[in-house]
Amino acid sequence: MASAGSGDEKAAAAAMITLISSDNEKFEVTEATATLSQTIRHMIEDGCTDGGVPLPNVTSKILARVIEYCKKHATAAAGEEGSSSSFSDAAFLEVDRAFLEELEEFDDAFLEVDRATLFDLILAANYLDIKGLLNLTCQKVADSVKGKTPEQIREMYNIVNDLTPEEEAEIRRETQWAFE
Amino acid sequence: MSDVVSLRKQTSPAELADDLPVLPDTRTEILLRVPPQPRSLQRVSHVCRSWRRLVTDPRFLRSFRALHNGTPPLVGVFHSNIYEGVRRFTPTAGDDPMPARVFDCPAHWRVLDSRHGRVLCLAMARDATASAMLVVWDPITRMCEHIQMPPDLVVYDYGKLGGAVVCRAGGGGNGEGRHGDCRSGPFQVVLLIGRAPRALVSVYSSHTGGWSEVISFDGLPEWADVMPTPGAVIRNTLYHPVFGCHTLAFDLDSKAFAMIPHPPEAKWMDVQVMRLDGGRLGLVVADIFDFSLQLWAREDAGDWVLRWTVQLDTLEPLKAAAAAQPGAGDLRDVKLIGACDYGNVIFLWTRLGSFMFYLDTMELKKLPYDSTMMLGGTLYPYESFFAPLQATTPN
Repeated sequence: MASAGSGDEKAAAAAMITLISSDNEKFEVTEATATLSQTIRHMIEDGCTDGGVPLPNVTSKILARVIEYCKKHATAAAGEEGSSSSFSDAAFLEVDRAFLEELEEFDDAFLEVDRATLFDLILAANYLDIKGLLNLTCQKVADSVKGKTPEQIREMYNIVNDLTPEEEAEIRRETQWAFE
Repeated sequence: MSDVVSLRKQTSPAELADDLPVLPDTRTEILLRVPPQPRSLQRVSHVCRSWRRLVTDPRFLRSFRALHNGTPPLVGVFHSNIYEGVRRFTPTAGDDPMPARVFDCPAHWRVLDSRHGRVLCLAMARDATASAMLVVWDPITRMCEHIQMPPDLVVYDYGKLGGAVVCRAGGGGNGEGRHGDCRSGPFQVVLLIGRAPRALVSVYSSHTGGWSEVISFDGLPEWADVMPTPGAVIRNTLYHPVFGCHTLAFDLDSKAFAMIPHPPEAKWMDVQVMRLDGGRLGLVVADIFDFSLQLWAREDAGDWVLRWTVQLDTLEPLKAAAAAQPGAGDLRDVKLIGACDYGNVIFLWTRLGSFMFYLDTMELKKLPYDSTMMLGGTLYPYESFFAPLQATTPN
């Protein structure tokens, strides 16, 4: 595919899409970057992106972060397509590995945000349907409950325990071991 | 164009408290990624009502299993032998191990099999007036189902009895990925005993609550006595070890038997049958002269294909031990003492201790148990996702 449709792809890569945040800020991105979002990809396919794509659920602050992620990963996706072609010598694989490491470092650094931002990123990734970003951000939250008791989890995320004492007693009776 | 956007649920971030993102689908996305450690789902289910509803939903559990390739985590191993004051169960889950006492069972129980979240034990008679019983035990809920021995097998030597407890919730062919938390589903218990050329098998069904007639098979090759060690279950077939150069295959649906010959290279050697990826029958062969392991996979046509051979003294920590004691031929001894049901780990006994061997990464990890347990004997791994029980109280 990389060789057969390369002319079209170049044209597509050059096409720019305008994304409009909830606070009306405009972001110009390449189509390759924008289409990491399945939501936007579908809009492009339906031909309804002229005049910009309004994203009323995403603030400019969050959208800027999301675009930063997509730019980096769109380059990665292009790199992967290249590696599946005729390049297979050790030097190329070495470059590939280094790039993947760099991507991992980027992801780690990307997650160094406060909790509110992390949650906003999750909502944006879900709304824009960006699988990689959704996975990355949700995993970060999921890892945070590891080894925590229910009380600690509630405290961490301000969750009200609405289980009745009877329900709690029942759960504990069934599986006391889980809470020791 | 905004129509397309509004197809997805809209919630302004400003409406959210500093809580987990409250959209139902993002909460699912987060909780699906909770590490599959034994206690994670249980603890999460105890946080609040909506979380409990979510993680006890069969659809959630299906996705959770799928995300972990249908492979439940290894929680620990039961030992076939116990000695006074020595544990029966060793937790293996690294940084958040289960309390061992969850897996405490009476000293007169002998473990026959551990599979699909259930443990099959033979409760030996403690005095002359009592008789031996089978116990199907769910350590998580502490539920035990006592089953009378099948009347036609009681006269045999219990020490030679082989057994399997098999979840039948999958309904045959495509239920492979379901196991690991199917404890409320129907199950079968298979008891096998036999001295060449005859094997006797009896099958208990939780559905009917009774035993089948004893089914006999007169096709065991010379020396191929049924072994009292666990086998592998792939789809609806139980592959049970027999002595020598074969494995006995028993179809749980048609009740038909077949003998599977091992590769010629594996004749009379210590082997471990196991289920490999894609539901293939696998055979690990231990070569005690070469101090190596081989993995064979059985192709659809019935041919065995050698996947790899590995020298054990090239793997740490055995490599370091071999280097420290050059010429110590005694160290080069290995026995296969069990396998995970999901084909990712086998258990090895060596003179330097017992190890878990990870087939995909070829790593050895020492089992953390008392050295008095090292006198051989079989290990029965317990693997489970520990899915919380469905909420019984109305939501």
